[in-house]
Amino acid sequence: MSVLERLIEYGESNPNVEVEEWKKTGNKVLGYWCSYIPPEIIHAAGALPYRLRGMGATGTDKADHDMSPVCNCSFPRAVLDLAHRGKYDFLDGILGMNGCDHTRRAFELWVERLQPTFSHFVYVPRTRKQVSVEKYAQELEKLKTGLEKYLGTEITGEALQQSVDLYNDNRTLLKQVQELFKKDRPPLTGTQFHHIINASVSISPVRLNLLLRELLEEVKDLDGPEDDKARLMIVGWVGDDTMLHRIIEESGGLVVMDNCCFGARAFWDPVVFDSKHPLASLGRSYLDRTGCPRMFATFNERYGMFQQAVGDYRVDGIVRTRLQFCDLHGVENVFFHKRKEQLGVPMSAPMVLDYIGQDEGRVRTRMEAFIEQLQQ
Amino acid sequence: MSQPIVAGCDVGSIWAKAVIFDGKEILASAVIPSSPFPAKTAEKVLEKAANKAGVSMGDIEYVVGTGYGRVNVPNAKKTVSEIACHAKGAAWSCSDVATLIDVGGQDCKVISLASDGHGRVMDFSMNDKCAAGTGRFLEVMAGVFELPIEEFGERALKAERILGISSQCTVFAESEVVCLIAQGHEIEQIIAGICDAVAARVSVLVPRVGLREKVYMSGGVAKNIGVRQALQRRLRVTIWELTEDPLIIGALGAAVLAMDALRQQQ
Repeated sequence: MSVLERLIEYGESNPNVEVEEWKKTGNKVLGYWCSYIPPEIIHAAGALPYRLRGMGATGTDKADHDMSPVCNCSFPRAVLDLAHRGKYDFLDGILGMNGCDHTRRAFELWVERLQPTFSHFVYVPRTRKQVSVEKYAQELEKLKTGLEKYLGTEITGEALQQSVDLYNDNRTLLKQVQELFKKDRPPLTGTQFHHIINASVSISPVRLNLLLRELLEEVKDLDGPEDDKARLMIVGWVGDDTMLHRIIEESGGLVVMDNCCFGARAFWDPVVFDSKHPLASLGRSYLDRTGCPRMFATFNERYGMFQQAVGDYRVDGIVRTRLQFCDLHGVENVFFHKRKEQLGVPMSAPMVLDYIGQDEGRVRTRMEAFIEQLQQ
Repeated sequence: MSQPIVAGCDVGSIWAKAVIFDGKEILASAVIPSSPFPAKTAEKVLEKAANKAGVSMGDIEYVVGTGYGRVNVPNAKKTVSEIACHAKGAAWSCSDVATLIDVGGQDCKVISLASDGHGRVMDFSMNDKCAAGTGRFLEVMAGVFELPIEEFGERALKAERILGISSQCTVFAESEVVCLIAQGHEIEQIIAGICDAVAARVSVLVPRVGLREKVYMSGGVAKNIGVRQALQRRLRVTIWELTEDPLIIGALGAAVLAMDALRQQQ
C-alpha cells in the first residue's frame, strides 16, 4: 500500500487502524468537537486527540429522536447518531465547545444520553478582544486541569511545547501538500487531499508527520493527468464527507483550494507559542488565526485569503455551499455574493446540502452546470 | 449534400422530450410521460420524434442527452446539464432572452444569459431540496381538486382574491389546502393562492442572479397562466413567451448543442 493509499484509508475510516494501535498501548483516545479545541493540550496529556467525524453514518434517525431534522444541522446529527450506535465506544471521553449551537447541543445530548466516562466543555469566545483572550486562557487552564485529573498526569510546559511543535509541523507539511495544487497539473486530486485532511485529525501527529514527509517525497515532482479541469475553490462545506469533492471532480472540476471546516483553514496559520505564557499564547493563536465564521468580524480576513488564493491557485470558479440550517456559512455566502465582482471569478449560487448525501443527482446537475458555465 | 440531422433528448422527472433538428429548423418534437425506466423512455420519445420527422434513428448523427435521466439516453454521444440546454434552446427560440425562468417537474432555475444571443450561461440559481415551486407541487395540488393540470392556471385567473398558502413544504401545503376547502373557500381563490405560492418560491431565486429584461419562461409550468401572472406580479416585469413550446426548450437546446458538437467533430 502506498503512503497516499494509507492516508486515504485513514481518512475514510472512522476509526482507523492507527487508533486501534494507539489503544493497544493502553493510552486513551479523546474525541473533540470542532477545531477550536487545541489538540496540543490533549496530546500533551498523553491522549490521542480524535476529531469527531460523521464518516460512516448512513442515517441520523437515532439522533433525530432528540435533535429534530427539520431545524438541526445534519453533521452533528450524523456524529451523534454514530455515538448512539456505539461507533464511538472506542473513545475514552469527549470534549465539547460552542463552535456553533448545533454542535454544542449535540455534545450536551451525548453527555446526557450516553454518559461518557469523561466529558468536558470548553467555552470559546467569539471575539479577539483582550478580555476574550484572557477568558479563553482560563478555559484552557480548566481543560488542562480536567485532563490532568482524569488521566492522572501532569501537562508540563515542556510536553506542551513538544506537542505544539509537532502540530505546527503537521500544519507546515499540510500546507506544502496544499501548495502542490498551485501546479498546472497537481499530482493529487482535491478529493484525495480532503481524505488526507480527515486523516490528519484522526491519527497521532508524530505518525502524520512521517507519512506526510513520505508523501511529499513521493509526489512532489509528479504531474497529474493532462486534462483540462476547471480549477475550483469550495467555500462553506462543513464536515469530513468527501461527497462534494468527489462529485465536482467527477464532473470535470478539480478542487484546488477550500475554506472548509475540515480543510485549509484548519492548518493555515501556525501556533505562536510563548513558553512563559503557554496557554494564553496557545489561545491567542487559535483566536487570531484565519478561522471560522463563528468568530465576529473576521469575514474580511477570510475574504483576503480567498482573494489571494484565486490568484495563487488560478481558481476558475468558486463553489458556494452550506449545510442546511448552517447560519454561519449561510450568512457568509451572502457576504461573498456581494463581493463577487471584486473576486473576479464566477461564483455558484449557494448550494444547500445535507451532510449525508442522499441526493447526488441534484448536486451533480448543479456542479455540471456550473463547470459548463466556466468552460463554455 | 443534405443537412445532417441531430437530436436532443430531455428526460425529465414528469415528461420526456425529444427534438429532431437540422441546424435550421425543428423537424419534429415529441413529448411522452416519464416512466421508472429512463433508458426506455428516452428511446421511445426519440423514436416518436424521429417518426414524426420522417427519419430513421440511423439518420440521426448526434444525440445530446439532458435532464435528470441524461446518462440513460441511448446513443447519446454527450450529456449536458439542463441549465445549459435551456439557455441554448431559449436563445435559439428568441435571441433577446436575458433572464430565463425554467420551472420543471422537480426543480426550478433562474438563468442569466449573455447578451450576445448565443445562449451562454452567465449565472444561474436553482431551488434547494424542496418540491414547492415545481411542477410536481402543482400536480399534487391539481390532484386534490381532481382537476386536469392544464385547467389549473385558467381557474386561478377567475379568482377575485388570492388566498395565502403559508406552508413551503408540499405535504404541509396540501393539508393546508384541504383545510381551506373544508372551510368553504372558493376553489378559484385557493388555486390562485397555490399559483402564487409557486411564484413566491421561484421569485426568491431571482435576486441571487439579478433580473435583466427581457424575461422569458420555459419548462412545463410556463404553460400555467396562473403561475406566469403571479410571477409577473411578484417580479414586476413582463414575462414573454418563447416562439417554441416551453416544454421542449431543454430538448431543443440539447439538439442545438448536438449540432454544434457535430460541426466541431467534422
